[in-house]
Amino acid sequence: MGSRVRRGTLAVAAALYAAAASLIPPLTGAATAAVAVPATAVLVLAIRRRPRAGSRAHRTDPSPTGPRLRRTAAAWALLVLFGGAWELAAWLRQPAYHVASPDHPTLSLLLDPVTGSGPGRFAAWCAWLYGGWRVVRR
Amino acid sequence: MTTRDLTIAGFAVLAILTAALTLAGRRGRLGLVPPGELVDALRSLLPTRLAILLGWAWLGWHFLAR
Repeated sequence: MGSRVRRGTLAVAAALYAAAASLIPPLTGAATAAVAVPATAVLVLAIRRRPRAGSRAHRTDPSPTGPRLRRTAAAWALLVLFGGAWELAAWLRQPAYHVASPDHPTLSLLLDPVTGSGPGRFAAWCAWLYGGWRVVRR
Repeated sequence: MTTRDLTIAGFAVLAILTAALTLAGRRGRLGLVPPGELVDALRSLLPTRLAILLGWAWLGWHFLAR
C-alpha cells in the first residue's frame, strides 16, 4: 500500500512538473534547466542505488533467455544505429548546425509541431519522465 | 521523389521497424524478448544503466529543450 501511495505521489508530482515544464518555450535557458534538473536527479539515483533484489531487473535470468536476449539486443542496437545514422545524415546536410533544412528534415524538426507546444509537448514531457523513472525504479 | 520525401521515408521505415520489433518481442516471435525485458537486463548493470540514461538525457535535451 505504501509503495502504491509513493508511486501515485510520484506520478502526480511528475505530471505537475511536466505541465509546468511544457509551458516553457524550447530554445531557452529555462527549458535546458527544466531538462537538466530531472536528468541530474535520475543520473544520481542510477549511480547511488541498484535495482532491488527480486525486482524484474534482478529476476532477468541470463541462462534460459540468453540467446533470445542477445538477439533482441542486437536487433535494437542495429535499429538505434540506423536511426542515429539517418538523423546524423539529415543533420549534416543542414546549412549550419543550428539552421534547420526543410529539404533534409531531422526527426526533431519533423516532430516540432507536436513537441513545440500544447498537449503534445506535455505528453512528450510525461513520456520522457516516465522513461527515466522506468530505468531507475527499484 | 525529393530528398525531403526520402528523408521522411527513412524515418517512416524506422518507425515501422520499431513497432515491428516491439510487437514481435511482446508476442515472443522471431526469438525476441519484450523490450521491457531487455531494459530490465540492461539496467541491472551500472555501465549499461548509465549508458541508457545518458541517451535518455540527450533525448530530453534534444526534443524538449532545443
